[in-house]
Amino acid sequence: MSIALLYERSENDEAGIKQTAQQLGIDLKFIPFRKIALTISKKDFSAKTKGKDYTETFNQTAVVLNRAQSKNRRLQASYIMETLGKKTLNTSQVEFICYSKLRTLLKLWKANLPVPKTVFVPCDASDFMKNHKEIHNEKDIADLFQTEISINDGIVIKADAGTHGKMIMLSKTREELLTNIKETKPNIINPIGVVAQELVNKWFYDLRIIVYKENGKQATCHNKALARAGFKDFRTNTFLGNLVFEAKLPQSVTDLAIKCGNTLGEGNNAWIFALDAMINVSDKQHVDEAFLKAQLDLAAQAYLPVQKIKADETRLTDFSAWNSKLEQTFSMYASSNSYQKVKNIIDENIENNKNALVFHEANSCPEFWENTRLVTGLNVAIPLLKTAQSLIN
Amino acid sequence: MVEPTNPNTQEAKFLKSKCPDCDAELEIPADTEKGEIVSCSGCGLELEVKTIQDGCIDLQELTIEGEDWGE
Repeated sequence: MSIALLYERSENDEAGIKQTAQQLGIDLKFIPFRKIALTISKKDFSAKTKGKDYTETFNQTAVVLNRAQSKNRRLQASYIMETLGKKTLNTSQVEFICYSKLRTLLKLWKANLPVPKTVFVPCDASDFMKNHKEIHNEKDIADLFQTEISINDGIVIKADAGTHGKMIMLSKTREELLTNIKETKPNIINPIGVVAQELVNKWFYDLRIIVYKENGKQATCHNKALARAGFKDFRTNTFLGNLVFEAKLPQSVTDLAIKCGNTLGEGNNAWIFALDAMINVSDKQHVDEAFLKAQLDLAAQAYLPVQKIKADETRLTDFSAWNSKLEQTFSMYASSNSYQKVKNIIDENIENNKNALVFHEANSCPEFWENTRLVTGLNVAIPLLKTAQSLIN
Repeated sequence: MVEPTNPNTQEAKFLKSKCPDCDAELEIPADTEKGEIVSCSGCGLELEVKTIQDGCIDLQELTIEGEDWGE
């Protein structure tokens, strides 16, 4: 019995997992979760693409490392695999929580863990009557939000299952709030209702923290986080072109992250999360912002060769050679003066404001090869594979 | 780039290549044109025909991203 990597497309993370499995001597099977017919009939199950029968691969699989990129397909994949008697990483229970920002926050809030003030209104921005006439609810929803969060402080509307910063909109006026609520129509990343959150004054960075638990062991938190930084946008997703820096985590923060992991993974033998956290820095900015912006501009210049390698399509034909180039250029970026200066500012700011940290999201299938691994020194493929292996043992 | 098998025979209506993902042998119809999208029968991966020249075919994985993809 073996571990199977279930995936939709083999991107850098999946190629990295394959390479790491080879280095660790782990026999990894592959299940493409794409154009495959998964059939139930009487007592039989089969899994076939047009050209290959994967049923035997399914039969020989004990643990499924679920890397389907789509949140919806990932949830479906975990549930299917568990029904077939496979162990999954992460489980469908965990996927169900992480799918939704609101469900994640509720779970953390219930366990007294710090989260941003969040308001959920179940109704949609508009409804249709039987006669097809449209009823607008934007004003009512905005009123409900504004009774809980001051518009002067900023109200952030978030797609409940959004990814890569999509449909995260900041409103600082009533007009902006109405427009943003109107934008939040039911769709695949926001099936129902509208979620609003207080704007956390995170200054210029947020944190991605890796926590995981192997079967039979205590949960672990890596003590270095990925800090995503920049002044381009109130969102700090790397997908939006922000820079990345290593951030040293104080013990109190790693302890808190472990509590988050244990809360979200409750009832499961093994799990892995990338937790997204922000620190409400407020006015406790300990360096001059003009100096910081100048250092970020310099760091952006130092980062250009890394971006060039990332965009290089040779990764599709020779992943190993491409990866070596990526590691070399990243190493040069990380040794630049500007990188070190910004990193020191972040480290000091975290230490000074560690009690003002809030968790706002948990990722059950994090991207890691290009940023988290290089910045933090943790190849997340290792805990992924070892955690999966622990479920066999 | 993979040479077609026996281009002078009746069977040579296909160009052979390999899926970059699952390594499955792919048989691409010889009249396929540049820019067409083909699927790997083994894993379903969509591939774009980048070049066809002198009976050789170069395929490249398509970059697709769904609305709910990612973290």
